[in-house]
Amino acid sequence: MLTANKAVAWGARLAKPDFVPNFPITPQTEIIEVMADWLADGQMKTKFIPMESEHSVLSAAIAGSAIGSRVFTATSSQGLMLMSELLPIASGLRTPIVMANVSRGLAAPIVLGVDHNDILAMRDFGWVQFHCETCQEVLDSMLIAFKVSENDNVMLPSLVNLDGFVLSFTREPVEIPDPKSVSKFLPERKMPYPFSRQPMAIHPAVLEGEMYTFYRNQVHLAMQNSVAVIEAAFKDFAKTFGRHHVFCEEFMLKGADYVLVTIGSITTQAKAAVRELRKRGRKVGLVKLRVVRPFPAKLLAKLLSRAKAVGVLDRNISPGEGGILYPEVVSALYASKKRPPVCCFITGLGGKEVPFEEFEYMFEALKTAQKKGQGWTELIETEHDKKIVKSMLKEALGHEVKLD
Amino acid sequence: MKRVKKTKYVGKAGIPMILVPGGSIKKNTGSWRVWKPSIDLEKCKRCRQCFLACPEGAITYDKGYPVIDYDHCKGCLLCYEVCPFKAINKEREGEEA
Repeated sequence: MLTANKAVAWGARLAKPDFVPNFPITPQTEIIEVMADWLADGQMKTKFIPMESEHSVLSAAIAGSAIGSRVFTATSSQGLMLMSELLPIASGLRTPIVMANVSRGLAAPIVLGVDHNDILAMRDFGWVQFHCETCQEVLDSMLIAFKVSENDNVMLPSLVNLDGFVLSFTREPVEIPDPKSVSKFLPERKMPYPFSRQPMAIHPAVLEGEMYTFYRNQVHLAMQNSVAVIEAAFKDFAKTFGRHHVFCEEFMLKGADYVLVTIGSITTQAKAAVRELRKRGRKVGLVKLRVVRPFPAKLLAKLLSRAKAVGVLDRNISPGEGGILYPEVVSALYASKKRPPVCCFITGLGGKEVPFEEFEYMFEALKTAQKKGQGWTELIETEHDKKIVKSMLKEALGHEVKLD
Repeated sequence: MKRVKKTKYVGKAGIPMILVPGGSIKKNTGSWRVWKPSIDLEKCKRCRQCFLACPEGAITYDKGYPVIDYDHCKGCLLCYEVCPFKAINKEREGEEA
Protein backbone atom coordinates (compact mmCIF):
# COMPACT_ATOMS: atom_id res chain seq x y z
CA MET A 1 0.00 0.00 0.00
CA LEU A 2 1.50 3.29 -1.10
CA THR A 3 0.35 6.88 -1.14
CA ALA A 4 0.66 8.53 -4.54
CA ASN A 5 3.48 10.65 -3.15
CA LYS A 6 5.38 7.52 -2.22
CA ALA A 7 4.57 6.08 -5.63
CA VAL A 8 6.25 9.12 -7.19
CA ALA A 9 9.28 8.59 -4.96
CA TRP A 10 9.37 4.91 -5.95
CA GLY A 11 9.12 5.85 -9.63
CA ALA A 12 12.04 8.22 -9.20
CA ARG A 13 14.04 5.66 -7.23
CA LEU A 14 13.58 3.02 -9.93
CA ALA A 15 14.52 5.49 -12.67
CA LYS A 16 17.81 6.21 -10.81
CA PRO A 17 18.08 9.95 -11.35
CA ASP A 18 21.57 11.45 -11.12
CA PHE A 19 20.35 14.69 -9.67
CA VAL A 20 17.35 15.70 -7.56
CA PRO A 21 17.18 19.41 -6.70
CA ASN A 22 14.20 19.93 -4.42
CA PHE A 23 12.10 22.25 -2.33
CA PRO A 24 9.20 21.14 -0.13
CA ILE A 25 5.62 22.36 -0.45
CA THR A 26 2.31 20.94 0.73
CA PRO A 27 1.09 18.46 -0.52
CA GLN A 28 4.31 17.39 -2.26
CA THR A 29 6.61 17.34 0.82
CA GLU A 30 6.18 13.61 1.41
CA ILE A 31 7.96 12.86 -1.89
CA ILE A 32 11.04 14.74 -0.73
CA GLU A 33 10.86 13.29 2.78
CA VAL A 34 10.66 9.72 1.56
CA MET A 35 13.60 10.22 -0.81
CA ALA A 36 15.65 11.89 1.92
CA ASP A 37 14.94 8.88 4.16
CA TRP A 38 16.13 6.45 1.52
CA LEU A 39 19.25 8.53 0.92
CA ALA A 40 19.99 8.60 4.65
CA ASP A 41 19.91 4.82 5.01
CA GLY A 42 21.67 4.19 1.73
CA GLN A 43 18.78 2.65 -0.21
CA MET A 44 19.10 5.26 -2.90
CA LYS A 45 22.01 7.14 -4.40
CA THR A 46 21.65 10.49 -6.07
CA LYS A 47 22.82 14.08 -5.83
CA PHE A 48 20.07 15.44 -3.60
CA ILE A 49 20.16 19.19 -3.04
CA PRO A 50 17.53 21.10 -1.05
CA MET A 51 17.53 24.61 -2.50
CA GLU A 52 16.30 28.02 -1.44
CA SER A 53 13.29 28.25 -3.75
CA GLU A 54 11.46 26.51 -6.55
CA HIS A 55 12.94 28.98 -9.01
CA SER A 56 16.41 27.80 -8.06
CA VAL A 57 15.28 24.18 -8.16
CA LEU A 58 14.27 24.30 -11.79
CA SER A 59 17.31 26.42 -12.71
CA ALA A 60 19.55 23.75 -11.22
CA ALA A 61 17.49 21.01 -12.84
CA ILE A 62 17.94 22.59 -16.28
CA ALA A 63 21.71 22.93 -15.79
CA GLY A 64 21.94 19.34 -14.54
CA SER A 65 19.92 18.00 -17.42
CA ALA A 66 21.86 20.01 -19.98
CA ILE A 67 25.12 18.31 -19.05
CA GLY A 68 23.55 14.92 -19.58
CA SER A 69 22.33 13.74 -16.20
CA ARG A 70 18.89 12.34 -15.50
CA VAL A 71 17.04 14.87 -13.40
CA PHE A 72 13.92 14.50 -11.31
CA THR A 73 12.12 17.02 -9.15
CA ALA A 74 8.65 17.58 -7.72
CA THR A 75 6.54 20.54 -6.79
CA SER A 76 2.99 21.81 -6.35
CA SER A 77 0.77 24.81 -7.15
CA GLN A 78 2.50 27.97 -5.84
CA GLY A 79 5.86 26.29 -6.31
CA LEU A 80 5.05 25.51 -9.93
CA MET A 81 4.03 29.15 -10.35
CA LEU A 82 7.38 30.31 -9.04
CA MET A 83 9.06 27.93 -11.48
CA SER A 84 6.95 29.14 -14.36
CA GLU A 85 9.60 31.48 -15.74
CA LEU A 86 11.87 28.50 -16.27
CA LEU A 87 9.35 26.08 -17.74
CA PRO A 88 9.59 27.37 -21.33
CA ILE A 89 13.37 27.62 -20.91
CA ALA A 90 13.53 23.93 -20.02
CA SER A 91 11.57 22.99 -23.13
CA GLY A 92 13.45 25.44 -25.38
CA LEU A 93 16.81 24.12 -24.22
CA ARG A 94 15.49 20.58 -24.72
CA THR A 95 16.29 19.32 -21.26
CA PRO A 96 14.38 16.07 -20.58
CA ILE A 97 13.60 16.76 -16.92
CA VAL A 98 10.78 14.81 -15.31
CA MET A 99 8.82 16.71 -12.69
CA ALA A 100 5.94 15.51 -10.58
CA ASN A 101 3.31 18.11 -9.81
CA VAL A 102 0.90 17.54 -6.98
CA SER A 103 -2.10 19.61 -8.05
CA ARG A 104 -3.42 22.12 -5.56
CA GLY A 105 -5.52 25.27 -5.97
CA LEU A 106 -3.88 28.64 -6.49
CA ALA A 107 -4.09 31.50 -3.99
CA ALA A 108 -5.81 33.79 -3.22
CA PRO A 109 -7.61 32.75 -1.07
CA ILE A 110 -5.08 30.16 -0.06
CA VAL A 111 -6.24 26.57 -0.34
CA LEU A 112 -4.54 23.19 -0.13
CA GLY A 113 -7.03 20.95 -1.90
CA VAL A 114 -6.78 19.67 -5.45
CA ASP A 115 -7.47 21.98 -8.37
CA HIS A 116 -6.01 21.80 -11.88
CA ASN A 117 -5.44 25.51 -12.45
CA ASP A 118 -1.76 25.13 -11.60
CA ILE A 119 -0.90 22.41 -14.08
CA LEU A 120 -3.18 23.61 -16.88
CA ALA A 121 -1.69 27.10 -16.68
CA MET A 122 1.54 25.42 -17.77
CA ARG A 123 -0.15 23.89 -20.81
CA ASP A 124 1.56 26.02 -23.46
CA PHE A 125 5.16 25.79 -22.28
CA GLY A 126 6.27 22.73 -24.23
CA TRP A 127 6.12 20.16 -21.42
CA VAL A 128 4.56 16.75 -21.99
CA GLN A 129 1.74 16.35 -19.46
CA PHE A 130 0.63 13.04 -17.97
CA HIS A 131 -2.43 13.08 -15.69
CA CYS A 132 -3.03 10.27 -13.22
CA GLU A 133 -6.10 8.75 -11.64
CA THR A 134 -4.58 6.13 -9.36
CA CYS A 135 -1.35 5.61 -7.40
CA GLN A 136 -0.37 2.82 -9.79
CA GLU A 137 -0.77 5.16 -12.75
CA VAL A 138 1.45 7.65 -10.95
CA LEU A 139 4.31 5.17 -10.57
CA ASP A 140 3.94 3.87 -14.12
CA SER A 141 3.74 7.39 -15.57
CA MET A 142 7.01 8.31 -13.90
CA LEU A 143 8.87 5.59 -15.78
CA ILE A 144 7.01 6.28 -19.03
CA ALA A 145 7.74 10.01 -18.69
CA PHE A 146 11.50 9.44 -18.46
CA LYS A 147 11.41 7.16 -21.47
CA VAL A 148 9.40 9.61 -23.57
CA SER A 149 11.36 12.70 -22.52
CA GLU A 150 14.75 11.24 -23.25
CA ASN A 151 13.80 10.00 -26.70
CA ASP A 152 15.82 11.68 -29.49
CA ASN A 153 12.63 12.59 -31.32
CA VAL A 154 11.21 14.36 -28.27
CA MET A 155 13.89 15.70 -25.89
CA LEU A 156 11.26 17.65 -23.98
CA PRO A 157 10.61 17.83 -20.24
CA SER A 158 7.60 16.03 -18.76
CA LEU A 159 5.16 16.78 -15.98
CA VAL A 160 3.48 13.94 -14.15
CA ASN A 161 0.38 15.29 -12.47
CA LEU A 162 -1.26 13.76 -9.42
CA ASP A 163 -4.06 15.30 -7.42
CA GLY A 164 -3.26 16.81 -4.03
CA PHE A 165 -4.70 15.10 -0.93
CA VAL A 166 -7.27 13.02 -2.85
CA LEU A 167 -4.43 11.06 -4.42
CA SER A 168 -1.23 12.26 -2.81
CA PHE A 169 -2.21 11.07 0.68
CA THR A 170 -4.43 8.15 -0.25
CA ARG A 171 -3.00 4.68 0.20
CA GLU A 172 -3.74 2.26 -2.61
CA PRO A 173 -2.31 -1.11 -3.57
CA VAL A 174 0.60 -0.43 -5.90
CA GLU A 175 2.69 -2.97 -7.71
CA ILE A 176 6.34 -1.93 -7.66
CA PRO A 177 8.15 -3.16 -10.76
CA ASP A 178 11.40 -5.01 -10.22
CA PRO A 179 14.53 -2.91 -10.82
CA LYS A 180 15.91 -5.30 -13.43
CA SER A 181 12.98 -4.92 -15.81
CA VAL A 182 13.00 -1.19 -15.14
CA SER A 183 16.59 -0.85 -16.28
CA LYS A 184 15.66 -2.86 -19.36
CA PHE A 185 12.69 -0.59 -20.04
CA LEU A 186 14.57 2.57 -19.12
CA PRO A 187 18.30 2.29 -19.81
CA GLU A 188 20.75 4.91 -18.61
CA ARG A 189 20.42 8.28 -20.28
CA LYS A 190 22.75 8.78 -23.21
CA MET A 191 23.56 12.41 -23.88
CA PRO A 192 23.48 12.75 -27.65
CA TYR A 193 25.39 16.03 -27.87
CA PRO A 194 27.91 16.18 -25.06
CA PHE A 195 30.13 19.08 -24.16
CA SER A 196 33.09 17.26 -25.52
CA ARG A 197 35.57 19.60 -27.16
CA GLN A 198 35.42 22.86 -25.28
CA PRO A 199 33.61 24.59 -22.46
CA MET A 200 30.22 25.54 -23.84
CA ALA A 201 27.54 27.94 -22.72
CA ILE A 202 23.98 27.14 -23.54
CA HIS A 203 21.28 29.74 -23.82
CA PRO A 204 22.59 32.52 -26.08
CA ALA A 205 22.13 36.20 -25.24
CA VAL A 206 19.52 37.20 -27.78
CA LEU A 207 18.62 35.55 -31.03
CA GLU A 208 16.42 37.40 -33.48
CA GLY A 209 12.90 36.35 -34.45
CA GLU A 210 13.92 34.03 -37.25
CA MET A 211 16.11 31.86 -35.03
CA TYR A 212 13.59 32.05 -32.21
CA THR A 213 10.87 30.85 -34.57
CA PHE A 214 13.10 28.01 -35.71
CA TYR A 215 13.79 26.81 -32.18
CA ARG A 216 10.22 27.13 -30.92
CA ASN A 217 9.02 25.36 -34.06
CA GLN A 218 11.41 22.53 -33.20
CA VAL A 219 9.76 22.30 -29.78
CA HIS A 220 6.37 22.21 -31.51
CA LEU A 221 7.49 19.48 -33.91
CA ALA A 222 9.05 17.51 -31.06
CA MET A 223 5.73 17.66 -29.20
CA GLN A 224 3.99 16.33 -32.32
CA ASN A 225 6.61 13.58 -32.54
CA SER A 226 5.94 12.67 -28.94
CA VAL A 227 2.51 11.23 -29.83
CA ALA A 228 4.13 8.27 -31.58
CA VAL A 229 6.83 8.02 -28.92
CA ILE A 230 4.29 7.91 -26.08
CA GLU A 231 2.29 5.30 -27.96
CA ALA A 232 5.42 3.17 -28.35
CA ALA A 233 6.33 3.68 -24.68
CA PHE A 234 2.83 2.55 -23.62
CA LYS A 235 3.21 -0.59 -25.74
CA ASP A 236 6.69 -1.28 -24.44
CA PHE A 237 5.46 -0.78 -20.89
CA ALA A 238 2.62 -3.24 -21.38
CA LYS A 239 5.06 -5.78 -22.79
CA THR A 240 7.54 -5.40 -19.92
CA PHE A 241 5.24 -4.94 -16.95
CA GLY A 242 1.86 -6.17 -18.20
CA ARG A 243 -0.03 -3.00 -17.37
CA HIS A 244 -1.79 -1.19 -20.18
CA HIS A 245 -1.91 2.57 -20.59
CA VAL A 246 -3.70 4.55 -23.27
CA PHE A 247 -4.13 8.19 -24.28
CA CYS A 248 -7.88 8.07 -23.68
CA GLU A 249 -9.34 5.47 -21.38
CA GLU A 250 -12.88 4.43 -22.29
CA PHE A 251 -15.29 3.51 -19.54
CA MET A 252 -18.72 2.03 -20.34
CA LEU A 253 -18.57 3.89 -23.64
CA LYS A 254 -20.37 1.15 -25.58
CA GLY A 255 -23.78 2.47 -26.51
CA ALA A 256 -23.33 5.56 -24.37
CA ASP A 257 -25.39 8.57 -25.43
CA TYR A 258 -24.11 10.94 -22.77
CA VAL A 259 -20.37 11.01 -22.21
CA LEU A 260 -18.32 12.80 -19.60
CA VAL A 261 -14.67 13.76 -20.22
CA THR A 262 -12.45 13.85 -17.13
CA ILE A 263 -8.83 14.07 -16.02
CA GLY A 264 -7.22 13.07 -12.74
CA SER A 265 -8.56 11.46 -9.60
CA ILE A 266 -12.16 12.69 -9.92
CA THR A 267 -12.47 10.04 -12.63
CA THR A 268 -12.81 7.37 -9.94
CA GLN A 269 -15.87 9.12 -8.49
CA ALA A 270 -17.24 9.76 -11.96
CA LYS A 271 -16.82 6.09 -12.83
CA ALA A 272 -18.76 5.07 -9.73
CA ALA A 273 -21.52 7.47 -10.73
CA VAL A 274 -21.58 6.15 -14.29
CA ARG A 275 -21.82 2.57 -12.99
CA GLU A 276 -24.70 3.49 -10.71
CA LEU A 277 -26.56 5.37 -13.46
CA ARG A 278 -26.04 2.45 -15.85
CA LYS A 279 -27.69 0.22 -13.26
CA ARG A 280 -30.65 2.53 -13.42
CA GLY A 281 -30.76 2.02 -17.17
CA ARG A 282 -29.26 5.32 -18.31
CA LYS A 283 -26.98 5.31 -21.34
CA VAL A 284 -23.98 7.10 -19.89
CA GLY A 285 -20.24 6.67 -20.35
CA LEU A 286 -16.90 8.27 -19.64
CA VAL A 287 -13.60 9.10 -21.32
CA LYS A 288 -10.54 9.78 -19.20
CA LEU A 289 -7.66 11.75 -20.71
CA ARG A 290 -4.24 10.52 -19.62
CA VAL A 291 -2.22 12.96 -21.70
CA VAL A 292 -3.15 16.62 -22.09
CA ARG A 293 -0.02 17.72 -23.97
CA PRO A 294 0.25 16.49 -26.68
CA PHE A 295 -3.55 16.65 -26.88
CA PRO A 296 -4.96 13.48 -28.45
CA ALA A 297 -7.52 15.44 -30.48
CA LYS A 298 -8.19 12.97 -33.29
CA LEU A 299 -8.58 10.00 -30.98
CA LEU A 300 -10.84 11.92 -28.65
CA ALA A 301 -12.99 13.18 -31.53
CA LYS A 302 -13.39 9.60 -32.75
CA LEU A 303 -14.53 8.44 -29.32
CA LEU A 304 -16.87 11.36 -28.70
CA SER A 305 -18.50 11.81 -32.10
CA ARG A 306 -20.76 8.81 -31.44
CA ALA A 307 -22.27 10.47 -28.35
CA LYS A 308 -25.46 12.54 -28.37
CA ALA A 309 -24.06 15.05 -25.89
CA VAL A 310 -20.68 15.47 -24.24
CA GLY A 311 -19.82 17.00 -20.86
CA VAL A 312 -16.34 18.18 -19.90
CA LEU A 313 -15.62 18.08 -16.20
CA ASP A 314 -13.24 20.94 -15.49
CA ARG A 315 -11.62 21.06 -12.08
CA ASN A 316 -10.26 24.50 -12.93
CA ILE A 317 -11.52 27.88 -13.96
CA SER A 318 -10.23 30.40 -16.45
CA PRO A 319 -12.03 33.49 -15.19
CA GLY A 320 -14.29 35.07 -17.79
CA GLU A 321 -14.06 32.03 -20.05
CA GLY A 322 -14.83 28.88 -18.06
CA GLY A 323 -13.05 25.53 -18.03
CA ILE A 324 -9.62 25.20 -19.62
CA LEU A 325 -10.16 21.70 -20.96
CA TYR A 326 -13.52 22.56 -22.52
CA PRO A 327 -12.28 24.60 -25.52
CA GLU A 328 -9.71 21.87 -26.21
CA VAL A 329 -12.40 19.21 -26.41
CA VAL A 330 -14.66 21.45 -28.50
CA SER A 331 -11.91 22.24 -31.00
CA ALA A 332 -11.04 18.55 -31.22
CA LEU A 333 -14.65 17.84 -32.19
CA TYR A 334 -14.94 20.73 -34.64
CA ALA A 335 -13.19 18.84 -37.43
CA SER A 336 -15.40 15.75 -37.17
CA LYS A 337 -18.55 15.32 -39.22
CA LYS A 338 -20.78 14.56 -36.25
CA ARG A 339 -20.55 17.26 -33.64
CA PRO A 340 -22.49 16.58 -30.45
CA PRO A 341 -23.26 19.57 -28.20
CA VAL A 342 -20.61 19.98 -25.50
CA CYS A 343 -21.24 21.28 -21.98
CA CYS A 344 -18.61 22.49 -19.54
CA PHE A 345 -19.14 21.62 -15.88
CA ILE A 346 -16.85 23.40 -13.45
CA THR A 347 -16.77 21.75 -10.06
CA GLY A 348 -14.48 20.36 -7.38
CA LEU A 349 -12.41 23.56 -7.23
CA GLY A 350 -9.89 23.70 -4.40
CA GLY A 351 -10.68 20.14 -3.38
CA LYS A 352 -14.44 20.64 -3.00
CA GLU A 353 -16.32 17.37 -2.64
CA VAL A 354 -18.24 16.28 -5.71
CA PRO A 355 -21.10 14.06 -4.53
CA PHE A 356 -23.07 11.61 -6.66
CA GLU A 357 -25.94 14.10 -7.02
CA GLU A 358 -23.68 16.43 -8.99
CA PHE A 359 -22.81 13.72 -11.49
CA GLU A 360 -26.48 12.84 -11.77
CA TYR A 361 -27.21 16.49 -12.46
CA MET A 362 -24.47 16.66 -15.13
CA PHE A 363 -25.90 13.75 -17.08
CA GLU A 364 -29.40 15.22 -16.70
CA ALA A 365 -28.07 18.52 -18.10
CA LEU A 366 -26.54 16.69 -21.06
CA LYS A 367 -30.03 15.42 -21.93
CA THR A 368 -31.24 19.03 -22.04
CA ALA A 369 -28.21 19.98 -24.14
CA GLN A 370 -29.11 17.27 -26.64
CA LYS A 371 -32.69 18.59 -26.87
CA LYS A 372 -31.49 22.17 -27.29
CA GLY A 373 -28.76 21.09 -29.68
CA GLN A 374 -26.36 23.38 -27.84
CA GLY A 375 -24.01 23.12 -24.89
CA TRP A 376 -23.09 25.70 -22.27
CA THR A 377 -20.62 26.47 -19.50
CA GLU A 378 -21.74 26.18 -15.92
CA LEU A 379 -20.17 26.32 -12.50
CA ILE A 380 -22.01 23.82 -10.36
CA GLU A 381 -23.17 25.14 -6.99
CA THR A 382 -25.23 23.08 -4.60
CA GLU A 383 -27.43 24.10 -1.68
CA HIS A 384 -24.86 22.52 0.61
CA ASP A 385 -22.03 24.66 -0.82
CA LYS A 386 -24.09 27.80 -0.45
CA LYS A 387 -24.99 26.98 3.14
CA ILE A 388 -21.29 26.74 4.01
CA VAL A 389 -20.45 30.02 2.26
CA LYS A 390 -23.37 31.79 3.96
CA SER A 391 -22.42 30.61 7.42
CA MET A 392 -18.75 31.58 6.89
CA LEU A 393 -19.66 35.04 5.61
CA LYS A 394 -22.04 35.51 8.52
CA GLU A 395 -19.28 34.69 10.95
CA ALA A 396 -16.88 37.11 9.23
CA LEU A 397 -19.27 40.03 8.76
CA GLY A 398 -21.63 39.58 11.68
CA HIS A 399 -24.75 39.65 9.54
CA GLU A 400 -26.57 37.57 6.94
CA VAL A 401 -25.48 37.98 3.29
CA LYS A 402 -27.94 37.39 0.46
CA LEU A 403 -26.22 35.36 -2.26
CA ASP A 404 -29.01 35.08 -4.83
CA MET B 1 5.40 35.93 -51.07
CA LYS B 2 6.79 32.68 -52.40
CA ARG B 3 5.86 29.76 -50.21
CA VAL B 4 8.82 27.80 -48.94
CA LYS B 5 9.14 24.19 -47.92
CA LYS B 6 8.33 23.63 -44.26
CA THR B 7 11.24 23.08 -41.89
CA LYS B 8 11.38 19.55 -40.53
CA TYR B 9 12.31 18.29 -37.08
CA VAL B 10 16.09 18.25 -37.12
CA GLY B 11 16.74 16.60 -33.77
CA LYS B 12 18.63 13.71 -35.27
CA ALA B 13 20.77 15.97 -37.47
CA GLY B 14 22.26 17.51 -34.37
CA ILE B 15 20.46 20.72 -33.42
CA PRO B 16 17.91 19.84 -30.78
CA MET B 17 19.70 21.85 -28.12
CA ILE B 18 20.77 25.45 -28.17
CA LEU B 19 24.53 25.15 -27.76
CA VAL B 20 26.78 28.14 -28.32
CA PRO B 21 30.19 29.02 -26.99
CA GLY B 22 29.97 32.04 -24.71
CA GLY B 23 26.57 33.49 -25.47
CA SER B 24 25.88 34.33 -29.09
CA ILE B 25 28.78 35.06 -31.41
CA LYS B 26 26.60 36.84 -33.93
CA LYS B 27 24.94 39.11 -31.40
CA ASN B 28 27.05 42.16 -30.67
CA THR B 29 26.19 42.40 -26.97
CA GLY B 30 29.13 44.78 -26.52
CA SER B 31 26.82 47.56 -27.70
CA TRP B 32 24.78 47.20 -24.46
CA ARG B 33 27.73 48.31 -22.34
CA VAL B 34 27.50 51.30 -20.04
CA TRP B 35 30.66 50.68 -17.99
CA LYS B 36 33.78 49.52 -19.77
CA PRO B 37 36.42 47.47 -17.96
CA SER B 38 40.04 47.73 -19.09
CA ILE B 39 42.96 45.65 -17.89
CA ASP B 40 46.13 47.27 -16.64
CA LEU B 41 48.69 44.73 -17.82
CA GLU B 42 51.40 46.15 -15.55
CA LYS B 43 49.40 45.30 -12.44
CA CYS B 44 48.02 41.97 -13.79
CA LYS B 45 49.45 38.87 -12.08
CA ARG B 46 47.76 36.48 -14.50
CA CYS B 47 45.70 34.85 -11.75
CA ARG B 48 42.76 34.22 -14.15
CA GLN B 49 40.07 35.24 -11.67
CA CYS B 50 38.53 37.58 -14.26
CA PHE B 51 38.43 34.78 -16.82
CA LEU B 52 36.58 32.54 -14.37
CA ALA B 53 34.14 35.26 -13.37
CA CYS B 54 33.15 36.50 -16.83
CA PRO B 55 29.59 35.24 -17.40
CA GLU B 56 29.79 35.95 -21.13
CA GLY B 57 33.03 34.10 -21.79
CA ALA B 58 34.32 37.39 -23.19
CA ILE B 59 37.79 37.11 -21.62
CA THR B 60 40.37 35.04 -23.44
CA TYR B 61 44.17 34.77 -23.14
CA ASP B 62 47.04 36.06 -25.19
CA LYS B 63 50.51 34.96 -24.04
CA GLY B 64 49.17 34.36 -20.53
CA TYR B 65 47.54 37.77 -20.23
CA PRO B 66 43.76 38.29 -20.28
CA VAL B 67 42.17 40.03 -23.26
CA ILE B 68 38.63 41.39 -23.24
CA ASP B 69 36.45 40.82 -26.29
CA TYR B 70 34.71 44.20 -26.42
CA ASP B 71 32.26 42.97 -29.08
CA HIS B 72 30.65 40.75 -26.44
CA CYS B 73 31.57 42.31 -23.08
CA LYS B 74 28.29 43.64 -21.66
CA GLY B 75 30.10 45.69 -19.04
CA CYS B 76 28.77 43.83 -15.99
CA LEU B 77 32.07 44.61 -14.18
CA LEU B 78 32.28 41.25 -12.42
CA CYS B 79 35.93 41.11 -13.53
CA TYR B 80 36.49 44.52 -11.97
CA GLU B 81 34.92 43.27 -8.71
CA VAL B 82 36.87 40.01 -8.48
CA CYS B 83 40.34 41.23 -9.46
CA PRO B 84 42.48 40.80 -6.30
CA PHE B 85 45.15 43.23 -7.55
CA LYS B 86 42.85 46.05 -8.69
CA ALA B 87 44.35 45.63 -12.14
CA ILE B 88 41.04 46.29 -13.86
CA ASN B 89 39.82 49.86 -14.28
CA LYS B 90 36.33 50.99 -15.15
CA GLU B 91 35.20 53.99 -17.07
CA ARG B 92 31.91 55.10 -18.53
CA GLU B 93 31.50 54.05 -22.13
CA GLY B 94 32.47 56.84 -24.53
CA GLU B 95 34.36 58.84 -21.88
CA GLU B 96 37.78 57.25 -22.24
CA ALA B 97 40.69 59.56 -21.82
